[in-house]
Amino acid sequence: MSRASEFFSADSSASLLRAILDGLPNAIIFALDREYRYLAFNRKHRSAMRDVWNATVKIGDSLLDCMTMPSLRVLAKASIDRALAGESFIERQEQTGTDILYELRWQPLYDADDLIIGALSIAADLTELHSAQLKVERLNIDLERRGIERGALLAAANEELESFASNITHDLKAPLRAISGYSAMVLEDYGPKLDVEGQRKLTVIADNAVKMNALICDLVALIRVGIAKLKPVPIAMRDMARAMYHESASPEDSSAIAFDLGDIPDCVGDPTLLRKVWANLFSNAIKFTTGRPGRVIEVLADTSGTEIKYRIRDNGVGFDNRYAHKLFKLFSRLHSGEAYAGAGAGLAIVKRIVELHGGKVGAEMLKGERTEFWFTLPRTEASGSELP
Amino acid sequence: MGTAKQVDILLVEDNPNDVELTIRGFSKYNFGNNIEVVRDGEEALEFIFARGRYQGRDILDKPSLILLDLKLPKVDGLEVLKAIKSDPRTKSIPVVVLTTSREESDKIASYDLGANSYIVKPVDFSKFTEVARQLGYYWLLLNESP
Repeated sequence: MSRASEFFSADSSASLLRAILDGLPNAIIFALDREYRYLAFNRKHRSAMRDVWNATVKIGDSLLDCMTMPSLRVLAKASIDRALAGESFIERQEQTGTDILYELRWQPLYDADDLIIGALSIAADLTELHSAQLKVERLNIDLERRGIERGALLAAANEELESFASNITHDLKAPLRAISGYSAMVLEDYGPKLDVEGQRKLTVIADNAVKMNALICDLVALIRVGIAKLKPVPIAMRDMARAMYHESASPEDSSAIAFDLGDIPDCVGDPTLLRKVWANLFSNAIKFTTGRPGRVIEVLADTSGTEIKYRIRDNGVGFDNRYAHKLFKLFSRLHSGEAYAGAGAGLAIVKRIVELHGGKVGAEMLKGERTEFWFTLPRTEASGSELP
Repeated sequence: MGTAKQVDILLVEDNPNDVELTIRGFSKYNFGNNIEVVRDGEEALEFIFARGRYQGRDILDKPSLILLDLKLPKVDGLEVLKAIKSDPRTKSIPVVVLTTSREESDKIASYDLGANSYIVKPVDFSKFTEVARQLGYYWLLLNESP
């Protein structure tokens, strides 16, 4: 008996070891001596040899003799020789024409005196793992494709919404123009034949056409904002606020209002959209201070670590703090249509734009009958600096 | 062709109510006597380039002003505008786009193609007649064409 075979048979735990080796799932294990003869193998190796080479292996048989295909025998011998030379290494073996994939770990076998007495091979069947990996890759590609499809669907939906918006503008406004225009023509042509009440009722018809028109304009503006894509650039916010105030205020308003524009910081945002924010907030402030003594509109801002809060204050009619949450809802109004013009979409548009920028909006009544509307914008590198 | 009718304004508009309102608006200030109405883009091109239904009209008998709606049957307003402004015989005719569209893209496209002005039709009739008055006053009285 060689030293190697002694090493294995002498082990008192041999039967335990054998049970473990045989019981390992997906592991093919065999040990060879320096002449490529089996010192040991587990059950999986025996069945693999039967399946692949139609060989019934026994302890003492040469592995190489069992391999009838010379090219593979050469490859196997090279690997065994590397292990016999003292090298531990891992190799991958794909069986041509099948999905079967093995990972073979080769290592030399030492006796008690550290002499190499053979080679050990532990092969793991990676076929299932490998096919699972391929499946994950396929799923990822599929997912990516679906993401692209979804993006295209979204773009198509937005396009449809955009064309819907321009169609309602065109198709709904034409009849309104007719209602307004023909009522006016009746008034002009037949006014003398109508009594005062008849004339009043015709005027109501025409006025409502104009109101309906405002509703449509706001609705379309809201749809447009809803599908808008942000094009953020650095904005000189103080200049923008000043320009938008003067655009919103009539000459009469300007002369009656004390406009106090504080030193507000710059920001990064979409200029077209943020102009709408200022325009809506200013026209509200102007509208709700109309006819009141000592009209004041004030703009200020404060900066925290992460955001800039812009505040627009006025001393107008204000609102009941209990209803503040309703202000930013579409078409919700806290004042009757008779007293103040506007359809009630302006603040909904403001909210939508600010949220698109990652900010928040709010409103509250302050002490001293001051109304405050505020919006926040996230602070970025470019927005933190003060104006020179 | 002694019968050639003097045309001050060529109104390109398919909505009959808008046609009536526009004529009414211009007539109110005595600018409505020589308005020719065409109902779609194709007819507009036939009139302007004196062909089809308007064969025999003198192409050099230019209207003082073209009022052009953008949403038109057959040939749309922007195409009509492009045809007018890219032909040396017609490109000097002032074209005012008179439309319902407030769309930025329509405005940009109109000015790019050479529109002389872009006006959104007001719903309020008194504003509408004011637009007609100002257009008539400016383009028919003040403006000098080559």
